[in-house]
Amino acid sequence: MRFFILLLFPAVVFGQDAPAGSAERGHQAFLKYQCYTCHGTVGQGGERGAGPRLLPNLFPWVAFSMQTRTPRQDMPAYRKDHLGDQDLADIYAYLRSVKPSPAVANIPQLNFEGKR
Amino acid sequence: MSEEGLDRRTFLKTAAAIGTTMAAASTVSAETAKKPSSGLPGERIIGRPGSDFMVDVIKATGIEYIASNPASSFRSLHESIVNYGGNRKPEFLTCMHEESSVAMAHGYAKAAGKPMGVLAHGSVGLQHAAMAVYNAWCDRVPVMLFGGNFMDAAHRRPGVEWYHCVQDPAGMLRDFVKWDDQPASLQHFAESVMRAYKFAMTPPMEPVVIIADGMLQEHPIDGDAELSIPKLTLSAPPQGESGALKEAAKMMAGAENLVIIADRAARSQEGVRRMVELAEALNAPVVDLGSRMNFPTTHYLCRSEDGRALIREADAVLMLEVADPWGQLNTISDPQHEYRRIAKPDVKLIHVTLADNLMKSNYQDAQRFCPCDLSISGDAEATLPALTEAVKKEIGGSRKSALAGRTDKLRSQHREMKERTRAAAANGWDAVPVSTARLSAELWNAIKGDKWCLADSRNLGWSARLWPATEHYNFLGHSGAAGVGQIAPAAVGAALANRDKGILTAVIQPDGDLMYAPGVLWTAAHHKIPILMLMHNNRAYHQEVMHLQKMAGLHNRRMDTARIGTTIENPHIDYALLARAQGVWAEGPITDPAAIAPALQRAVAAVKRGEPALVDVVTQGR
Repeated sequence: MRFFILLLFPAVVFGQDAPAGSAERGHQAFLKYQCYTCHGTVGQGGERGAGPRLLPNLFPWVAFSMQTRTPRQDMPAYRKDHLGDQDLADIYAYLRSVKPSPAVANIPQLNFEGKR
Repeated sequence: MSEEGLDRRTFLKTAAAIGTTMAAASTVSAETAKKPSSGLPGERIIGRPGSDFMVDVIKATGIEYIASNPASSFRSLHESIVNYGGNRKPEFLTCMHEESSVAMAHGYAKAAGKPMGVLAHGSVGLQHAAMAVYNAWCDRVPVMLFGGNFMDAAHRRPGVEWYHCVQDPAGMLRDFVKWDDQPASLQHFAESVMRAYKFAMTPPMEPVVIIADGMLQEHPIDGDAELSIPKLTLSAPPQGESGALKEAAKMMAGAENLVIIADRAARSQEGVRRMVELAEALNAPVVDLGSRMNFPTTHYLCRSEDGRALIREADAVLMLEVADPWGQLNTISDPQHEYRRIAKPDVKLIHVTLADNLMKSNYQDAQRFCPCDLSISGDAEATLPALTEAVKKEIGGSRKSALAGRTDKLRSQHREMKERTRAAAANGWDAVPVSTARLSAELWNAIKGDKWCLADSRNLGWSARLWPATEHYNFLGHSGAAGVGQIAPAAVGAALANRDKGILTAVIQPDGDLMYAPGVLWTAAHHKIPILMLMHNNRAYHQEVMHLQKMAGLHNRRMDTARIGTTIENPHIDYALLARAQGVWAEGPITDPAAIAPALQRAVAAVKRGEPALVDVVTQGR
């Protein structure tokens, strides 16, 4: 329900900027706190019970932090006791810094229309 | 099962062929019976032990291979296989763990469409075999498991033989085999083997156990005995009742949003063709849960990735041999265990299944009870022709036109699903460690020019999602019970069955699974079984890493300890070295994504020379 409320008030939710963070520290935190085990090391997501992809359409900061602290669905909760606000801001900065993946059209291995 | 599997058209032909083999074997049996010599114990010769007759019986079933770790409780049978039987049909496959033997038979049966034999030692061997038997049970796969044992305590050698004997050897497996017996005579053995084979091959197919008593093996055949091997005739698979099929057709024809969910529906290419015919008659999307290859991934009605969304909107669902029907319509969240309904409360459910015929209570593979509007007891593949005919009769002119009018939209939805999947696969394409999507795509590009089989198509779902698969032999599903350690040996078994068919067998091999019994690599090398193993080496029992994170989150505790006890690192295992040490061509570990394709090319060349090959790639978790 909380997620839908967020969607109803985009000006409130999306208008807020993320706090300053270090992408480099965020990368380390992303690994240390095991975010990558479900979401992949570059936020690409996983399958079979792992987490959804975080990129290329990263959640706005408020939604991102809310989902991390008090997640909906199956994600474990990362509360402040064990993941500080600065760590979370750094993780967000890291995800924003991840280089976009190539487009499907530029990946020949993903052309499945060839000989089979 | 494969195209050589049992279907209503071919079972009579198969039975006739087996009957011919049986007659020939019986003749051999009668001709070779000899009396033992008399004299000093050291001069005693048993020219015709009971185990020779057992070999005749096994040959009469058409079993081509016996997978086994050698052991004293079946030493006579072993010797008869290799000398009396010429080590041909059955050929003895040397395995390094009974769990590997049974898992090889599991994979073999799905690729060959018929069972492999397994020989296991009395107590300890059957204990080793047990988990693999449970996997086969849950996957509805026939395995002919023979156990050795010395029932007569007066003949047992003191010491170890007593530890390895058991009053009721099959007892430890009885909860998850279809049938077992401990024959007291050779004639009893012959009849029970035929009965066991028949039971194993009648859907729902399952493992069976026959105990070959040690003294029955080693004692000479009584020359005057009138032994005979009964004719083996396989049963036609049971078909759903015609009135129920008519009712099902009426329900489906009247539905606005029908979804077909198939799990273990197709046993052959004919089954896949029948699935397409039914889906096209209804113009209904198909969700293939993938325990077997049921439906071509290239067909516009294939919507396996959209299952949840389709079920949410469905007013009727046809399930075809679905292992967990409740779980398609409902879910329980993790880790909170909260119930959620996925389907509409009034969705109409029809299920064609033989699950009601498996009456066991201890192990919980029955899954949660699912109320059903129309439950039809029958083998899905055998039922499809009559069900499709009933549907065609039910769908008249205007309804037929209305259904046909949906085609463009359905084609478009299929295309969009495929595009979404490819876009998801592109995400993290150049990541290090290698993304699982890239791992799968690179493998496809290495084998797409050949007839191919992916021996486990569930562990890494990208392949079932991305690859164009049209043949029943393409995807063999999964282990059944998710008992770890099954993937590698089952893949080797499947590769053995595919070896003579010109089908290249590949497997995306998880590291944790391989380490349960890596000796299967030696078995593949020793028996020259060509298989391409591409390591999905995430250096962890990754599912358990995520479980620990969930528990830590639930308990409001730290997450950075989730790798304690769940990872396979420090030191990293060198899988290429492990493989090479056992005679398998291997490369790796590969960390650069760009290095995968050339390594796979070299590996495929090795496989085409008839060798097993392993490429170790360090990957993302999932």
